[in-house]
Amino acid sequence: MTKRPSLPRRIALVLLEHAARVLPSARRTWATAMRNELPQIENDREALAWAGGCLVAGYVERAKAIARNRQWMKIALAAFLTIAAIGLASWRAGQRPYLTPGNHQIFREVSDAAALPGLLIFVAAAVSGMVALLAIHDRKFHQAARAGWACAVIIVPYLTALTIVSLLTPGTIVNIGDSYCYDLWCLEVNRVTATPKGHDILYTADVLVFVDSTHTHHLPVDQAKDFFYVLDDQGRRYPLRREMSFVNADVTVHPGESVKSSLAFLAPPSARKLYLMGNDSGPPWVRLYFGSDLSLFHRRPLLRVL
Amino acid sequence: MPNRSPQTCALLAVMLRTPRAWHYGYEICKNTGLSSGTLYPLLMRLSDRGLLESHWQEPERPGKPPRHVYRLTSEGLAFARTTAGSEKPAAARNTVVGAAT
Repeated sequence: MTKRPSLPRRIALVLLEHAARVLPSARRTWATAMRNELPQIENDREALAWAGGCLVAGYVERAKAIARNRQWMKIALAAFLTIAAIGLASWRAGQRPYLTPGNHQIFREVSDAAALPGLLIFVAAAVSGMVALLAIHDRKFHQAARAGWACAVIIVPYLTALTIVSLLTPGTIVNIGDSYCYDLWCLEVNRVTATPKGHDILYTADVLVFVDSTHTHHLPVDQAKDFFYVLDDQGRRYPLRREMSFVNADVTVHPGESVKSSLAFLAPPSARKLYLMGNDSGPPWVRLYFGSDLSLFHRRPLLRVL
Repeated sequence: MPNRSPQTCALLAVMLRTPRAWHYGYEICKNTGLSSGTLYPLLMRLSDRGLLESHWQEPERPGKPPRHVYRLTSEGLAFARTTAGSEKPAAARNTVVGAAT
């Protein structure tokens, strides 16, 4: 009767079988060579270490084979250049303000042209990632490696290009009299009055709210009060005075119409520049869109109030 | 030509000691102190460049699988001697350090 191998030796055999699968097909003889040394190793711990080393060798050879295959480099470079070109075009589309009669500019947080490539790229990456996971589950490691590479070839150039474009793009500053649209909601600061109040100054900004949509929308006033805050040139934050901001009750905003309202906040006289900002960073996927003001590493848009 | 890393030098030094003998993978690991994860990629590289020859050796005892054995080709021997001449192998350095301590 044959004696059953010990647990470390059984693990070692599994590792060696895995190494044989990972090794490029041209190296299969070497897999047999590694495996056939195992019976010569008497110590179980050494046998396990041997098998672990062979597994490392398998992955090293697999990685070298991939690196040697220059086609991958060409595909990665082409993917990077394509994605960078799409990204720059999307960024341009997203950053360009819409001009209305009277030179009134409307800036958007993100354009459809910017969102679409991001969406398509992440759908493609998600599909290839899922294929890779399913292949791993089915122990089809070569197929998993190919799908994993496809996923990396999509994601890595995209994120690299996104980061570079985000870091190089100046932040949007929306002047008084221009408008900024966050998703469907747009806001324009058109007049600011300052009244001394104790040691501080009470600022009241007259604003116009409208929708960038062909449908009627309901203005969620309570959400708007929490959403906005004011930032000064020294990085200090000031909340809105809830009782004096968006005092009109929830209102319905029709397409092409605007609703007048006001925002109020207290700031010290030392604040020389004041900007209205939003608390929400948007849904996570918006951070991965080219040309989005909310994308990774991008400077946040500032609506000037002073 | 393969790189002349300390690991390559150690491997070549061991094979140069008995240049005409066939060496087993596990035996080389023990003699050089290299792990199998380092040794086999080196052996593959040397073999690809025609510096190493290999063949399957029938088992000494029945029930054991055939083993892959290696030795340097004439080109490999020349390369090993050049390497040994230009750089002191890691194994030799370790021996000296071990003897001194």
